[in-house]
Amino acid sequence: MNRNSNTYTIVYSTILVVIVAAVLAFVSVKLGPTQQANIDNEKKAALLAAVGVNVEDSQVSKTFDQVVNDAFLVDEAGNKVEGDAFKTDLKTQYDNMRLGKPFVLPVYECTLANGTQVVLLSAYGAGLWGPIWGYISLEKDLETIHGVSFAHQGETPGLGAEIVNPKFMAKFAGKKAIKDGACVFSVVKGEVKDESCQVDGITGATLTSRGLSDMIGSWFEKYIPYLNKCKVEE
Amino acid sequence: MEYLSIFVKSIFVDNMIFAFFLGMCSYLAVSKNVKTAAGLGLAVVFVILVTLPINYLLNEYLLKPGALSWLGEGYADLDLSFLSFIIFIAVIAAIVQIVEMVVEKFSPSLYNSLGIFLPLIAVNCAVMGASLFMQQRDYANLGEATMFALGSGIGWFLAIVALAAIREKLAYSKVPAALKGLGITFIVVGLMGIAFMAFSGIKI
Amino acid sequence: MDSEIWKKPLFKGNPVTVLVLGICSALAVTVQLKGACIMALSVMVVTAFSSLFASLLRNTIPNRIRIIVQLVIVALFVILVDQILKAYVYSVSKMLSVYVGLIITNCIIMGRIEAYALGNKPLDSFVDGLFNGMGYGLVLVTLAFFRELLGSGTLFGWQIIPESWYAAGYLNNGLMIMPPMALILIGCIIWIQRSIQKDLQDK
Repeated sequence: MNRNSNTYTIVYSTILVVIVAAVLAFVSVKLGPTQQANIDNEKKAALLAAVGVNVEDSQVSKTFDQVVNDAFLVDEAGNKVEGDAFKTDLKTQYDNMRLGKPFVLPVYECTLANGTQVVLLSAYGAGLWGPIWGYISLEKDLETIHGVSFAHQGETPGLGAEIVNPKFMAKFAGKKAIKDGACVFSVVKGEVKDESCQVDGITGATLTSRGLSDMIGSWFEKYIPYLNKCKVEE
Repeated sequence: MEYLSIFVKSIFVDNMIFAFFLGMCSYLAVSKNVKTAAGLGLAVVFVILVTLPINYLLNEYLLKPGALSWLGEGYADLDLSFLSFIIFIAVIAAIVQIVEMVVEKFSPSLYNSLGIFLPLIAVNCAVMGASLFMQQRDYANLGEATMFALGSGIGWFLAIVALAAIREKLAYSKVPAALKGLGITFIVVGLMGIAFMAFSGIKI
Repeated sequence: MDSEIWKKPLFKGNPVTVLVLGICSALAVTVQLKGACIMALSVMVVTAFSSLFASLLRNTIPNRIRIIVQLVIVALFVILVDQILKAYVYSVSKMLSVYVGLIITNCIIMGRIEAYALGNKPLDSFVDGLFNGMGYGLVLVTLAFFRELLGSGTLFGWQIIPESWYAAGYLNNGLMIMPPMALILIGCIIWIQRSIQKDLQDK
């Protein structure tokens, strides 16, 4: 067999490629569901953290089903629309918002173990280096923050990445987010003027803090039509 | 504005060498004098600039979830992203090979100065890394991806030329025997990295 | 089997500190011990199996596309490792992000295939690959040990530095978490190694 002939080279590479592709496709199909479950699980854990529920990884899915009564999408006018809230990609909606295209917002209604009812909202925006996103839950009055959980892609460790520090996130609870139908909440740098609706940002991470503040402000603004509707119904 | 920001960021803040350690092997091996370092640096800029847009298009229209929807509705759910490593590396290896042949044929003088580095570049992590970062960061369009490619390449080029210049001078300094050569080079690169950290926090 | 096959790559011929191979993909994963251990394991698996397969195929590979064939073999194992990490240790795979993919371009693997596997028997190549991966992992884990301990006061995420030290004014060294510190630490490891093994010193 001549190892340098063209035919041999071509046949050899074809066989190799076919075998490799087959093995990879098989593995990817086999492991795909487990991988997707991990991704879903992570998102559920983040959502649960925002309502103040922290459980073991193995319990996340079960707890999530217990806590979340209803999940749905609302449009910019505050009307419920068709769709799966959990599968809605926040980045796509964020891009649509910026481009002025129609968008939808996921809403989760939750009941905690002690009977407290909260509404869980989502947010997505730009930090210093990459996207930051998070979930924010509101008390039954639809004005006060119950809890938050944030995540980021590439903020500086020790500075911007501190937004995911539980100590930082704990500062948000109890703050007034919305007053008279407008978002009043902000993350400020330096001096907190109004304790009731401001959180002190992270030292050394001005731009990430500002991004976080803008993100919360802009998404709340989009949610306000829906929140107002809820209040009227009550 | 977006382009400029990606460009500057990928040169200084997300520098392939100082922030991500990519392409270290050839970086340390070929930085003994400025001239060869510049040659390798140029070759890297060139290869990243050619391969990254190709990989971007492949990722956009072949690999990422839903990328095949241009073939019709039935293909919209396909997700071939598990093939991305192999496709990226194949593209890089193939391009490097083609570039080598083209350069050899049409510009023997360029081949003599660049050519010896080309085979090294196929396994240069900076090239592969750039493609993987491009995929992870999900750039909005081809222009952004190309800007990122150019910036990363130039960042790598600057880093290797700077290190080579320092190493040339280092020959005249008194370094403890056990630290000579490799050891001190690592420490120098570390210190340069700390200097480059000053750039983080800049937003354009 | 010659015991040099496995002794050499661990110390005297360590791929990272002596041969300067494969530094690229891995320094950024040494902030935490857990990530470093998984990375070290992944690299060991990939080097061992790609050496094994390259050696099995060594008499059939067409010379002209040798490099590409090697890359395909390596890429195959890297993708397998990546898929498995994503499925079973998702949090770690997120932390390692693109660096798993970069194992493909880790020069150790290609280097061992070219230099050893293509000319030796499969079993020897497997052992050679395994221990070269281990030599690499050894450096990785050492680095991660110091970086996590000094940078965050933890090991594998467990608090090691007692609270009372912090109360007494001890602070974590934030610089240890930053990427450049990994390079400086490697410099120090090389310094120590070469002080012991004088024959490695540059003239």
